[in-house]
Amino acid sequence: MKRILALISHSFQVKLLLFNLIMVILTAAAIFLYLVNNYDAFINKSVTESERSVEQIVNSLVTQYVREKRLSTWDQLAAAQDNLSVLGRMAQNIVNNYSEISVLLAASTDAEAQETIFDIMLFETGLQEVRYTDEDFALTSDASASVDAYIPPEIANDPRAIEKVKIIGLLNIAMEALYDANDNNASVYFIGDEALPVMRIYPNNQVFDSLFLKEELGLLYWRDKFADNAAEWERWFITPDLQAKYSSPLTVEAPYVSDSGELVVTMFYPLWDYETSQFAGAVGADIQLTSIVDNILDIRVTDNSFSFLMNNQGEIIAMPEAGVQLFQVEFSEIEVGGRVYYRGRLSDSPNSEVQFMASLIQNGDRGYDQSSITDQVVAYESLPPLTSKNYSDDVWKIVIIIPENEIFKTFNETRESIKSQSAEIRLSSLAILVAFLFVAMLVSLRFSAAATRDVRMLAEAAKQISAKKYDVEMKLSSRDEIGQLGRVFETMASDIRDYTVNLEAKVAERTAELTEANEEIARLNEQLRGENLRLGAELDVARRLQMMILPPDKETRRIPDLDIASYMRPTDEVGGDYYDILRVGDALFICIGDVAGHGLPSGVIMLMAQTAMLTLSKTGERNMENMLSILNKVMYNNIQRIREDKNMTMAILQYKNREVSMVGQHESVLLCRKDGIVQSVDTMDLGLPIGLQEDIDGFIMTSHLRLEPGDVMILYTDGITESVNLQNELFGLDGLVASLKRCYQLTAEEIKEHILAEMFAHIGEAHIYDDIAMLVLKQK
Amino acid sequence: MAVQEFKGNDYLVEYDENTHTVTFQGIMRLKTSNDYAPLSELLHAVYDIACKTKLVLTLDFRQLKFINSSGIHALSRFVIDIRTENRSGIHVLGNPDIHWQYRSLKNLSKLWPKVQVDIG
Repeated sequence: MKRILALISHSFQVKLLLFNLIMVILTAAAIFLYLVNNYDAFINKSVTESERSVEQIVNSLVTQYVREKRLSTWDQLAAAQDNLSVLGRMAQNIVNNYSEISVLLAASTDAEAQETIFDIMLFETGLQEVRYTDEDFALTSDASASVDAYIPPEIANDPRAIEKVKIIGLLNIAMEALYDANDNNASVYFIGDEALPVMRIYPNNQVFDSLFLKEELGLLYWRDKFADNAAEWERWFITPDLQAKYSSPLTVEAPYVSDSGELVVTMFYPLWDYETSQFAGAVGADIQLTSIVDNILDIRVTDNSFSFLMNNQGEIIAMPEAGVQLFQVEFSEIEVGGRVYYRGRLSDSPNSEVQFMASLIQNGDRGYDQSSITDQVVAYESLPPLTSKNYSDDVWKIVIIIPENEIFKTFNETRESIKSQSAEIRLSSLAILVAFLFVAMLVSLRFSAAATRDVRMLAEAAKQISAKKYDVEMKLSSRDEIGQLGRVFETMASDIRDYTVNLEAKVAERTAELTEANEEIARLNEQLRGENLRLGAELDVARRLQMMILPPDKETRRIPDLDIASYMRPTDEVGGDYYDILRVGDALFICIGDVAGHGLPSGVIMLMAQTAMLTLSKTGERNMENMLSILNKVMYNNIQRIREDKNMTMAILQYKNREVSMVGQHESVLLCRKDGIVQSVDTMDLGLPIGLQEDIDGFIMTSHLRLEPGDVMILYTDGITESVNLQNELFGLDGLVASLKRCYQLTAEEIKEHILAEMFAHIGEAHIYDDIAMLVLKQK
Repeated sequence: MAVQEFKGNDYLVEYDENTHTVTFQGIMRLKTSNDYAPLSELLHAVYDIACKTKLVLTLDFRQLKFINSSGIHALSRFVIDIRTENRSGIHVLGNPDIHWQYRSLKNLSKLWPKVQVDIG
């Protein structure tokens, strides 16, 4: 895992490839899932819809089918009932007119001459005695009679029985026709009342023979076969409410299996003696259910479908073997009145589903159900009610059972094929997707390789360069930024190569140059040092000269009348400040001046000024203005000659007998009178800077003052007043004046020390920019 | 014009074309006259322009707190030079609160009357 991560993080190509793949895969997977889901949903929906419509169609078809069966079945049953009803009403007619007909019959048997209606063949009833024991005999018709008759031995001797048989013979007109009219008639017959249960039966199947064989010759029909019926029928005839509910007295018995093994149902149309309000017998018909049942059972919807007939009590009337097996129905044999009933109830099936279906069918009139029995479709329809023997509704039901897989076979087959096809489609889609992804991967590989080839080439080139192999050649094809980068790289690489190749040569060259230069520098240094020494020596000389020229203290102390103190401090070795005190006769010349700048040139000019002043003083010139004018000319010319660009300030004072006169522009002269008041004598108008122009005559003026004893005069250069402290604050004229005021009473020397002390205190650590010179003259 | 200003750590001299004024600011303590040569060049150049445009050059010293003797000498030299040319005069503005200006600027006027000095 670590290796894979390392691989990814180290390769741009792999990153690009991965990115491509992830994008493609995500997109394709998302689309695929979406489409497949939609497709599935669509197919499922279609199938469900189709299923529903197929079910609906099957439902309507099957119910329609059952309904048809119901109709056709009922047609037959109704026809049988109608058929019997006709016969019954005819018989009732006869019963109603029985007494009159009886009279008619008596007349015919009594009178030999008069023929009656009963003599015609149609009504002829030849009764034969048939002995079966020594004592007993029954009466029956012979084989050739069209309608069979039977009088049981018990009433064979009763003439009323014979009379009844004969009178009922009137039915002969209709019996055959009516019998033929309904194909389902097995036989039609008349049974007399309970007291005289004589029988007339069509067709003539020699009932005697069958009774004889069964040893039932003593048959009393009502007593032996249908014991309860008479009482029920009687109820109908005497209950108007019942008659309202059931318009016809006709009742239908439960189906049973006949002697010949046929399923038969017996219908009765009871007769009533209205004169005596008594049961008068009944007309009956044995209806073969075979064709009816066949019609019902013969349902071929699908191969394994079947139908059956059941009644409202859940008893099976007819069911094919397939149904019996499927529903696990058990039939029990019951014999009632000589008739064999097979009773099997659907709801007695051990199968709970069948029980459920049974109750469903019993409780509904009609229905279509797919849920009660697994994999079966159940459709049922109720026939209109038959009247049972106790005048209640006997509703028969036709039920069709169709296996689901058979009726939905086509649909199921289609659905399966759709499913398999959709599975195929899904698979093929997946295959296409995989193929697509595979192609996408190949393309991504190719693309990422191409796109990153240039980058990798660059990286390789950079590696080479860093390994000091400068001969890189990159054939970058693209013209995009990477290609540009590559070209720049190549240029850089060749530059680097040149540099490194030439570097050594250049270094060697340079080293040689440097060595040469170094040697030159060393030589020059030596020279400079030499010069410096010389200069130092020269400066040393100049300084000494300067100091030597200043008036010595010895001399200044010997001056009568004035207590003089002086001070000079140059900033460099040689200064530009100048003062002098010259004794000329009885006068004293005091000069003070300041050459612009400082250093050797200023010092030289200062010396020149001193010499010039001294010379002048020796010439005997006493006019100070002349002196200044000449001094200016001399200085101007000399300064020009030595090609210096400097000037100087200069003030010349002459002192004689306490009178002071001064010329020249310099700092103001301070005069502190003996009472402490300080005057400042401005010299601005007394001249112009010396050496600036040749002629300054127009600017020279003389100023006078007189000293009294105790007065102090201070001459100074601007080095004092323009000295600054670290905060750039000037000592200033104010500072000087203030200092003077504090010490004017002291000696000149003391005053000088005092003022200097205060000035230096003011300056503190600050730099001293200018030369400092001061003369203190106190009038003695 | 080539040089419009002359400056150092503590001072600034600049020429404003629109007002034809050279303004001095700060403290000038250059050691020698040679060090003040660029100032002289500047002054000569702007004086030339002023003369050519018939306008008066103004030198404004009101913000110049201090200038040493070499500097004053350079200014004096400049005035003497233009006195020799004798073209238009110049106008000088000074600050009465700065002590050196009273004396030195007055001298410029003495050197050449066409130097009009206004202090305060």
